[in-house]
Amino acid sequence: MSTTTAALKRSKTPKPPKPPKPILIDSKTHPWKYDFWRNWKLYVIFIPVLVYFAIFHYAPMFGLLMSFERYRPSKGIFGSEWVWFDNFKDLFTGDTFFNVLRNTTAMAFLNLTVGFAAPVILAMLISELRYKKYTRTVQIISYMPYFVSAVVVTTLASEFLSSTGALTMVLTWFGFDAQNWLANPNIPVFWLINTFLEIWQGAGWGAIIYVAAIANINGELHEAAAIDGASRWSRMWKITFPGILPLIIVMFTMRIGLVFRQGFDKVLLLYMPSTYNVSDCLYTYTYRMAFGQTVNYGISTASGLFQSIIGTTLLLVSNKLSRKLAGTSMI
Amino acid sequence: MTRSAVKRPAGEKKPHSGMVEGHSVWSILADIIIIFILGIVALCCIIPLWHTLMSSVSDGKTLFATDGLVIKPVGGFTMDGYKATIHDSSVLGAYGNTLLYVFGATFFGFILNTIGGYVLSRKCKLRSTFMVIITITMLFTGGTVPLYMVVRSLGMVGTRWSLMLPHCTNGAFMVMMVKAYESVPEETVESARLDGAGHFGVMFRIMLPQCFSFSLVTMVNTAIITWNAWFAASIYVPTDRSRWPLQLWIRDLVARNQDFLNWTNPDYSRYLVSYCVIIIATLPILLMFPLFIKRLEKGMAQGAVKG
Repeated sequence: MSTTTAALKRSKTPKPPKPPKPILIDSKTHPWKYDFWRNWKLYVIFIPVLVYFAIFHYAPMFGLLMSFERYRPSKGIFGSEWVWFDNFKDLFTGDTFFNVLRNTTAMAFLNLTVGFAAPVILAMLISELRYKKYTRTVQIISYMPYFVSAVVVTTLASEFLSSTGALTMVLTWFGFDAQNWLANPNIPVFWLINTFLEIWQGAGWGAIIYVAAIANINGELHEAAAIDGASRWSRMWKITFPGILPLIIVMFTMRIGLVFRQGFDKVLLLYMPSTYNVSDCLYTYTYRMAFGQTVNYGISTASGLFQSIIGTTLLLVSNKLSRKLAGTSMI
Repeated sequence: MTRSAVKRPAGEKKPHSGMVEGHSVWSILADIIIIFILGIVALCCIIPLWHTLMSSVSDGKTLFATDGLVIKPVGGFTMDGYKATIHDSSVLGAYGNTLLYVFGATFFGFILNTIGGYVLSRKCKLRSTFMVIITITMLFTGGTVPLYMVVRSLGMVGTRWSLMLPHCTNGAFMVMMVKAYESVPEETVESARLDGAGHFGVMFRIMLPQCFSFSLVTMVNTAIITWNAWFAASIYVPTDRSRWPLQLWIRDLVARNQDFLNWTNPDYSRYLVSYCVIIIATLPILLMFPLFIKRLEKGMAQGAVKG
């Protein structure tokens, strides 16, 4: 008898479940105590994450205090002279500030419009064609630039846009003078280059989700419309486009939220003193004021904070929009 | 042809049977135009890389005098550029650095994302508090300079840690992993717990395999961010070349691309070095990514649908 029970026990799971501990803490009267008794292990394993975010995300927020002080590295953040909004005053009244703000806005706007539309259009073209082997090849090739680093992208750009570069030669066919386009200080040139690079790098990759969404549209809709005599063009606009419109809205509102934060890293690699008036943006200005020749941590932090405030405002607005229009949100 | 006759397996794209599509002139013309546009897109993506590849195996002196696009090696096929690259710059060391940073950052990011996502997807009373803590970091950032100050006060400036830890994860990745874990059916978790699995067992053995596409997307993104990073290195290890990642080397080599002309006896293979470095830095990824592209696409698409 006893041997069979032992065998039965052994045949079960290697670790037999322990008999449930008597619950000593009542979840009704002591909800927090009960929660800690039940979940303390969870909280313990979460500590590394908390520490990480405390150090690398929250501690720098205290560093923003620098934007209200005349920061001296020797005196530290808590010892430097407190000057309230003087740094912001200097920032806003500086003679380059108007250009910086205009360039930032222009490049953000181009990324938000042209840069956003490119993957959608690419995805619609890819899905519209019936030769799947061909479209698949094109799609895989279009991912490639996404895996090319920013440094290499900008190197290639300066190679192709130099006065003897391949793209410059193509542009001369259309009547433009051969020149180093990156050194061109006229107004839309640098902005367009930046947008073009952004599209070159991201359009194929960005198209993935739209291609997937279009593939999920019910094929019967297309057949029914075709039998009713709808042309390909009108099916594209009346079935495919409305089918991915919710996704487009979600992605667009997300993009609004990020447009002031991302997409400026290549500017830092591309710009040069002779084109500062069209290429300098808040990101590069912040960088130059902290790590350039004239170091002014106060102004640098102030400009970073200014960009961050605009970015956060846009993110909150876009989040609200997204929740209202599409029912989902990032945060 | 009735509707029921055209039922096809789920997941297939919209139908293109001859009958619905027709062979009208307009339809064929539209096809041709789309094929043409897509062809141009593919060419635009591939030409710059091809140009660099062909330049890297060209003859230095001929290439220096060549304008425009290089479609096949000019001045004959040579490997001089690669010899010069491997011979006298620390490119290989920089490659090792970059790999170390990429693996380091991806590893730490993976651990933090997995743990954080798991805890944030469990039912516990502090969950919403933790969630707020993570979400705030998506809204507000200290910015470059304050982060630099923090890293410096930790004594990490000039060390390899400064290039791995600060950017290994962020709020967005964490939230993505939370959503990934929430998509795992709760029954599998409960049955595993009844079988005696601990938190780490459930996390890594039960839940992670079921939502690995998401995890892969965050990992690949972290890897790409670290691979591309030159800015962090330029401020954290500005002068210590033995710790420079590859990207910073490329930037430096490209900037010094034509310095060799000032030498008394210019060695034109030096001109090829920047091309070779670009190829060395780019080709491995381009050859590797098709291997896991299917999973990545799946993760991207799911993330978009869920997120």
